[in-house]
Order: sequence, then C-alpha cells, then structure tokens
Amino acid sequence: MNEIEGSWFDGGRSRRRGARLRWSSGALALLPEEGGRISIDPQRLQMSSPLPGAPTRLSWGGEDSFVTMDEAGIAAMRRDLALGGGWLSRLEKRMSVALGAGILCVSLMAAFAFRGVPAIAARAAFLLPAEVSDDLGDLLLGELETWLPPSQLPEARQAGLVRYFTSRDEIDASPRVEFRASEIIGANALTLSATTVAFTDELVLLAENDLELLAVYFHELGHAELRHVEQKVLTASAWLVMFALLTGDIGVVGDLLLSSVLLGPALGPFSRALEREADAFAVERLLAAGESPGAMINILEKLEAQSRLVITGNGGADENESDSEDTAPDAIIPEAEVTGPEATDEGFLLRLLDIIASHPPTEERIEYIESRIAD
Amino acid sequence: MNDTRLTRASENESHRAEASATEHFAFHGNGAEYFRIWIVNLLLSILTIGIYSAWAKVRTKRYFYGNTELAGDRFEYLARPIAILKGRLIGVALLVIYTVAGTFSTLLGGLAGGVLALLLPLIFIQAFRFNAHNSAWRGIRFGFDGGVWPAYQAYLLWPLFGVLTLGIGLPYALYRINQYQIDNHRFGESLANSSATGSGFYRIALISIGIFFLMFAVVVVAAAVSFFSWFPLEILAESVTVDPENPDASVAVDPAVMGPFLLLGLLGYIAILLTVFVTGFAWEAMRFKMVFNRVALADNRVRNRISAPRYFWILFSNMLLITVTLGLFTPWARVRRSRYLLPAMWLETSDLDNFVAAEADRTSAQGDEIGEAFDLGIGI
Repeated sequence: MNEIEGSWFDGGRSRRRGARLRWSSGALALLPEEGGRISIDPQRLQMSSPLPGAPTRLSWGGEDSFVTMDEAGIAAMRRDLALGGGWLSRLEKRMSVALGAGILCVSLMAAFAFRGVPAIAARAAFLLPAEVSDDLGDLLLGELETWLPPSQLPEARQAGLVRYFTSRDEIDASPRVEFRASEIIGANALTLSATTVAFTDELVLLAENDLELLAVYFHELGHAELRHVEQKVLTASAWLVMFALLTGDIGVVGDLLLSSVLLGPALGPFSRALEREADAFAVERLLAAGESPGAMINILEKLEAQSRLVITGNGGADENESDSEDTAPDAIIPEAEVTGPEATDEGFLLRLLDIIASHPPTEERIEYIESRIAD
Repeated sequence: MNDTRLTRASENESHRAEASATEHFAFHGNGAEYFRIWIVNLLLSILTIGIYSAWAKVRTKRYFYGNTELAGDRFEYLARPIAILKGRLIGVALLVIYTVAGTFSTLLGGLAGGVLALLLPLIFIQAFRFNAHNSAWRGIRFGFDGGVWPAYQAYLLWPLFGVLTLGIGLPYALYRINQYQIDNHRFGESLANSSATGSGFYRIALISIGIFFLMFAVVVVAAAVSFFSWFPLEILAESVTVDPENPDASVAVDPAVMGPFLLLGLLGYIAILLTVFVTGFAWEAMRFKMVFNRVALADNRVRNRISAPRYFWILFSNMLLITVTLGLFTPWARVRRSRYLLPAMWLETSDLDNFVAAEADRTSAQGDEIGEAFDLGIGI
C-alpha cells in the first residue's frame, strides 16, 4: 500500500475534491479524482506533525493542501520516504505513557510544592523588608484580638521584662514584645512575625523566674530571626498560585481564597523542623549569654504539666483547641498535645494540618536540649 | 437611497430562499484520547520550564479544530509554535517590567500598569488576527481586520462608560465588544456579521442579576435557618460576657461556640463563592446561545439549539470536578463542553463550495507574525 485517500483543496476556493496521494521511492504525486496528476517535490513537502485523532495536512509550497485522516497511511509514507517524526504522537497514543507522564507530573509538582517552594520561601523570607513583618504582626494581633485581650500585668512588670529581654538578646533591632491576657490559650508565647512576639500573662505567672521567660523569649526570637512566619506565609501563597495554575482560570476564587488562605498558615503551627531550629537557636543564645539551658527544660515541663491539666479538666475547653483562630501561632506547647483525641470534627482540615505539621513531643525536645547541654 | 435599500432587501430575501440546506457541526474528540495528549503536554511543559507550552497550545488547538467537522471537512489550526513562543516571551517581559516597576515605586508601577492597559486593545487585535489567520476550513483561512481606534473604543471607552454609569452601561459595553469582535472577522473574503442587540445583552444581564439575588436570598435564608435551628444559641448567650465596667472592651466568647461558628462561616463563604460562579456561568451560557444564534457569514447563518440550563450545568459541574480533582479532570471537561456545544450548532447555508480566499491571506508572510502575547483563549 503506497497510496492515501484524502481531500484536496486548492487554497483559493472552499471546494473539496477527492484525491489520492501516491508515493514510490523518492517520488510523490497527487492524483485528483477528476483525473490528471500533480507531481510533488518531496523536498518541498510540509506535513503537520501526527496528532492522534486529528487529520494530517500536507502542503508543498503553493496554496494547495491535501488533508487525510489515514493515520496508518501517513505513518507508512513517513517510513518509506524517511521523513522521520511522529515520536510525539506515538507517546500520546500509549496509555502506559500517559500513566507514566501522570505519575511523573504529580511527583514533580509535589516535589516542587513540598521541597522547592519551602526552600525558596526560606530564602525569600529574608528579602522581605521589615515593614512587611511589622504589618503582618499587626494584622495577626488584630485577628487574634478576641482571643488575646489586653494584658492585666502591671505596666512596670511588662516594661521590666522587655528591658530584661532586650538587654540579653544582643540583637540590634529586638522584636516588639507584646503581653496579652488569655484564658483560652493559657500559658503560651507566640511569634507573629519577624518583628512581633507575644507572651500571655499566664505564661509570665507560670514561670518561676525571669530566666525561664528569657528561655522562652529566645525560642520565639529563633522563630522571628529565622523568619519562620514569613516562610509559612510565602509557602502558602506559592501553593495557592500553583493550585490556581493547576485548576485553570478560577478567576475570582483566587482573589477570595488568597485572603483566607494566607491567614490560616500564618496562624497555624510550625513544622517539626522549624520548631527544632528555634530550640537550637534558644539553646545557643542561652549558652552565649552564660545561662544554663536547663531553664528551658524547666519551663517546658511546667507547660507540659499544665496542658495535661487542661485536657483532663474542663471538657469544653479542649473542644475549641481544634479550631483555626485559636490555634495559637507557634504555641510553645504543641497543639496536638493540647487537643485531645476526642476533639470535635469541625476543625477537620485544621486537625489534618496539625497532623502534617506536628511538633516534636515535649520529651523529645527536652532530650534534645539535654544533649546540647552535655556537648 | 431608498432604492438601494429596496434592492438590499430583495437580495436578502432571495438569499433566504436559497438558504435551504442545514449543515450541522460535529465533534469527534474523546476524553481519554485528549487526556493522553494533555498529560504529555503538561509533562513536557514542566520539563522545559514552560517553553514547550507553545507547542502544547498548538497541539491542543489542532486536536479540537481537527475534531470539529462541518459538511464533511475538519477545521484546521495552522499556527507555528515559534510564533506563539515569541508572543509569550513578550507577554512575560511586559509582566516582568510591570512587576519590577511596581517594586521601585508605586507611581512607576501605576504608570507601567496604565501603559499596559493602553496596550491591551493592541494586544487583543494582535491575538485575534493571529488566531483567525491560523484557523482554516477547506484550505481557506479566517481573518480579522479590526481597526485600532474601534478597538480602543470597544475595550477601553465603552467599559469606562459602563463603570461611570455605575454598571448600568456595562451590558451595552459588552454588546459593543461582541460586535467589534464578530463584525471584524471574516472567512476568506466573506465578512462575518453579528445581529445581536444591546437589548439582548440587557435581557441576559437582568436574568443573571436575578439569579444572583435569588441565590443570595437562598443563602441568607439557609444561613438564618441553620443558625436558629442548629447553632448552639444558648451556649452563645451564656458564654458571651461583657465587662460591665468597660463595655467597649473586647467581648469574651466561650471557646465552645467557636467551632460551630467557624463552620457556619466556612459554609457561608463557600455559598457566596458558588453564587458568584452560578451567576457567571449562567451569563456565559445565555450569552453563548444568544451570540451564536445571531452570527452570519455572508449569507450563511449560524444557528443553535443549545439549552442554556444544560450548558450552564456542564460549565458548573466541570468547574466542580476540575477543582475536586486538582485539575486532572480538565481534559474531559474540555471535551465534554465541545461534545455538547458543537452538535447543537449548525449553519443555514446555500453554498459552502464557493467561499473565496482573501488575497491578503494568500501571501504567506503573515503567518510569521507574533502570536498571542497572553493566552487569551480566543477561538472560533
């Protein structure tokens, strides 16, 4: 078989004429149904690349074109005339290739989303000007106002602590330290941005001495100095853009999602790795300041004991812990521990986030700090 | 003057008498086949950091055009990927300039944005020209001859008028845009013509707004009902404590009510999103049906029996399925749309054999011009 059936168009008028394309070694000719013979110079032959399901179009320099649906015939002609090509359509025809491509696509995108994006965000976070971190801190403090009403601590005590912290941190621009009362969150400290850190009154009261608070401050300072909140926000926005690209033009959804999705990660817990980094930072600072990291262990143990109390105590109190807004940003005590397994399923997504971003258990953190002391 | 009108009228009548044949469009694509092309496109685009996307675009359009049949012949998409790549690089460059300008100063960014907006009508013209010139049927290319000043009127002045009249003029602006797009297209030498009317656009705009408010009312009622029947109001009442000494201070809310409260908020958010989508898709379904019942090509008329509700449902469910599958359903969604639309459309025609190619299209140098700067999704 060295003939293909198809349609011949002269490029001047929209009239179809039946024709056959015939080839032999090195020679090519169009044979119109109405008779005659048009010989074609194979050198000038232009052929659309094979595409499954679509017709193939051939032209030879002039305005004429020949169109055929005969895929097998075209493949034979390509072979006989040594025209090459067609590898793409061979890929596109195989279900195994499609499956392989699908798996490869998903893994590449997943690798980019879960490795590439956080790595880029970790660098990009340091390029953000301080004003952005200031605004982010203000924004989050505003969002958390209901959960974090103004502090009941005497002004002098607050100012004294801030003076104490900044005198020991050896940092040019110390982050702003805010104090907030919070029955809901309990004893805790939060990093809201690279320039904003918050302590709850309950934590200040829980600490035996100010050195324990300094240990907590250094932990939060680690999050702040390493721009952990900014990293989370950047990562989340990059994911959002990826989602928009993947699902196509979702237009208005993107805008609406943007505002809500950014807040969640900023307020959500840190990953194990980031928490570990902050712990290491705190231990370094304590040692550099000539203090014992044991203070950190003391306060961690107190917080742990207190969170056990919360779970076994008031039944209503743990219900709320699974909800987004009161998921304390960078709770020094991991959410997952505060939230009992019987937590309501309303915050399902956030529970999922908790699992993904679970903190190292307190014992593990204490062990780590002890190992650093031993070194 | 009167005489010419009379002759035109009689001409039209004689054409109508001739236009007896109906030629239906057909679509032969299938989801599984296109999925394989789509996934290979996606993979190669990722591996080449987007460069292959120009080739991917050509293959996609060739697949859809090549599977669209009219009177026994398939449509053709003839663009060269390199031209599209050039266009895209220019598009990326423009966006980079805009972004960089914005980081230097707000003024500079605003200026760049303004320039970009002023360029937009030119970009549209270029995209229409490129797309039309590279679309063909039976060896005859389409064409687009829209002028620059009319483009600025259609894409900048009329929308501005729509905004200045607080939206009242917006359907009219959309009507002007539609007329500009269709009336400047041609197939060979035969000019396209839209007989859509401004009042037609107002009619579908009013229905869309009606749908929006209806949906909105349903959302509000549903929210109210769920709030009063299911929401733990007693707990809320007991849990809210206002400090009598300082009523302006933040209200303390018992954490127990926050779960249901947030859930309600989330559901409300989704409901509002759905309302926006439903309205947008309803508009699109009605617009498509109306516009493609009123397009003529010389004396051939495009008609359809598309059901707007059915087309709406296809758009809406496609969106849901694409979102749920993180984009994986996209190829089936596109095929599903074409499979519904094309067989529901036909041409009332007297003669499809005698369209004549335009002289300008026959000089092939035009094919080398720069393609679409942005993926505008323009198609016939």
